[in-house]
Amino acid sequence: MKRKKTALLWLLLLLLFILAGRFTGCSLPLFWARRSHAADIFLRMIPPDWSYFPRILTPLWATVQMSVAGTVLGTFLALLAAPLCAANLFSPRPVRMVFRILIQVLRSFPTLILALAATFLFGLGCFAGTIAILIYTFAIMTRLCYEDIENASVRPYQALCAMGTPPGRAYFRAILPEIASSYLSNALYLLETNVRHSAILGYVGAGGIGLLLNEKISWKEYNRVGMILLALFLAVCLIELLSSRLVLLVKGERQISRTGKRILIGAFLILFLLSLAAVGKPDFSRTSFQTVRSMFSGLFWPDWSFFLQGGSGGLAWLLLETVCIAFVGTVLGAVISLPLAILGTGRLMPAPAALFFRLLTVAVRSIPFLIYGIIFIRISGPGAFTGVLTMAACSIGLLTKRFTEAIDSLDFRPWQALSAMGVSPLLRIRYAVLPQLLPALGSALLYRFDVNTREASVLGIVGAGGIGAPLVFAMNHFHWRQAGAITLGLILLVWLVDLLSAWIRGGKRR
Amino acid sequence: MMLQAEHVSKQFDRRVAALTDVSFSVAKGEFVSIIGPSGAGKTTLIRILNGSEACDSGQVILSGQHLEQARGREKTRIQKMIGTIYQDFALVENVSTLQNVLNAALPDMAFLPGILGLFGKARREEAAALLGRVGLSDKLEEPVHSLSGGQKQRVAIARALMRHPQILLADEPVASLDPVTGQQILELLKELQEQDGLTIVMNSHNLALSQAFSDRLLGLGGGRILYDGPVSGATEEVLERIYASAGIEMAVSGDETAASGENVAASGKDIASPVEERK
Repeated sequence: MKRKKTALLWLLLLLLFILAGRFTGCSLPLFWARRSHAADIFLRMIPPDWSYFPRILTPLWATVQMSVAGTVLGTFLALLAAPLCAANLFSPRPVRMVFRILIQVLRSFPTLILALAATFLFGLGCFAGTIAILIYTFAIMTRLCYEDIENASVRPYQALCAMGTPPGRAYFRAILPEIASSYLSNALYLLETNVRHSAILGYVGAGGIGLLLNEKISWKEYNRVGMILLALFLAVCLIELLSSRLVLLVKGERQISRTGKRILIGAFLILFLLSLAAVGKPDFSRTSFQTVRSMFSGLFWPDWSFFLQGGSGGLAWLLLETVCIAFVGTVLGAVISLPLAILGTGRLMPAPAALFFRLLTVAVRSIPFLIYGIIFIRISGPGAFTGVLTMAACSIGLLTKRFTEAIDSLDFRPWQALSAMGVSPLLRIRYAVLPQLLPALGSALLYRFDVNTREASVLGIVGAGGIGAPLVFAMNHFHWRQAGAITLGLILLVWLVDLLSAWIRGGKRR
Repeated sequence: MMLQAEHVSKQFDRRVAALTDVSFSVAKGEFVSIIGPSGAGKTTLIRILNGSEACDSGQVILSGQHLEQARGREKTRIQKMIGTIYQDFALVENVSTLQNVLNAALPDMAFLPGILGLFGKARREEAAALLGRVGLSDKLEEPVHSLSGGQKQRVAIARALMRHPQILLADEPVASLDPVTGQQILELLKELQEQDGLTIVMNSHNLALSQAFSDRLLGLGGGRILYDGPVSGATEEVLERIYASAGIEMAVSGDETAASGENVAASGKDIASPVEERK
């Protein structure tokens, strides 16, 4: 009975995949016929224009500053908001609900859309970018943080309250130490994500290296684009290296002396202050009260006729397309990630080969989606198929990382036991390896699908289908009521996907 | 009187009463044990005594102040005089023993120094001295998760003492410890009672330890006080009646053994009879 159900579920997924693939216009023959175009732009980036390197440094540093300032501030605010969202502390139900809805709404938007909205309020420049990163970080961190709080032991907190400690103080001293390591490692991971995201914020005029990247792409100076990508790759490598070291410290797997700790905290504080200094002031000169008012009134009184419009080009159709892009993109990304993960794990491959594939993964990850967009658009033209390919390429980084972790933690003893009984390798994989891997792979896929649904809404910027194009178009042309309708649709969509993934996860646990 | 409970009743849902008309008093410097089977309402009683739970009716009076009516600051002020230790210790596992003890100073501190952990030298020294008092002077910087169960309970006792409590409540303090460690913890509590004149109210389902260490027993069964008197007065017969009340619950849920079924038959009437006279 249970087997039948599982088989049915797989069949259903396959069917959905095929349907979604059809819907988004995926076509392998097309991809194969035009495959030569994939390398076109890449080849033109080589060799990179080395002389251009010094000019990159300032905007690159500004990008890092923006992400550090935004991440630190957002993470800190999350610390204050999370106890208000948690069900097991002092927050009364109505307050909790209001905060949770706010977080869920903020969580629905990718950084780029937030940045675009911020440029309308705070003018062009780094300030808008920092605000966008701050809000993005705040939403994600609050969510992660309150889930941690709800899983933490409340007994010490209750004990402190019972002796008359006010709840706020009890939270900081009794709950925080329990969630600190998970909180800090999430923050470090987000910092790295944010550096990559902030590299494209310049596209909407929100400062950083994205301005330069956008300019060089439109001027077709590809060897300079190559140089920018190389610099970005190095920066991402550096940050990933740093954060992986720090995560070990945070998780207590490595110890350092007290002075070492102080130096580290001091260095981080200096970095943060330097970053704050660069954020600059908001530029209100072009912000009119009129714009702000129509922006908010648009969000609260959306264009219902557009919201309910059916057929192709209607909101529902666009949202469906967005989900399909995210779904097919995630699956394709997983198909590419699995072999990459196996090749990149030190347990199965010789160390140099593993290192090479790991670097390759970081490289794939450090390239902004914008670049994938303009590469794939030459293969498949504007439309959803390009979106799928871009989404797949963007998923590779995280999926490979998670898959590698899963493979690294494999227990080989059942494998040896089966092989001692003379079971063939294929059956050994089926019965000793897959049962261990599937839960981890499944949850990584689910998580990435969730992220992709949100990120898919920016694909429209490069003409790759989905809800993004109409949203950005509406925002840029001050059609706030239409933007409000799309925003509402997006929030509902993300919420639905959230519920779906919670349901699947709950079902798996049972 | 140090602590008085007058006609305390508590109901969690409409059918099951956790506590019914519980009245007793504890004199200064007394060591009182609340005994009784699981589900008798012992933990609920402790939670009401330290203000974690509100009672439906009745009064809880600590040094002449009504805890049950107090709200907000007033309630906090009374709670500050009570130290509580728990079966599961309720310590912050990831931080040092010293920090855990210092947490007891939080109610008296301003918000910012509190969350930043700026306790000052005097408090640190006091906390260190208390940890020495409970026999952990060499474990000040040790994280709690690396300690044994008995050591954790000692940290919890030091934390409670840090409040200079007028009364120490102990909710099953030895239930998750092995017998030898449990004995040591009770010896420590006894020592605190005798040397510092600390008032202690402990609940425990370890009857032998309660009898060995306390001055007075309070028998709780089915949410009612079935015995209140000296340890010597708790005869076989009395104890049987207290512990038989668990049999009733089992009979209701329908999975009792034959032996406890007999107990119920023997003592069913006695439960309904009025509480034994108090001296």
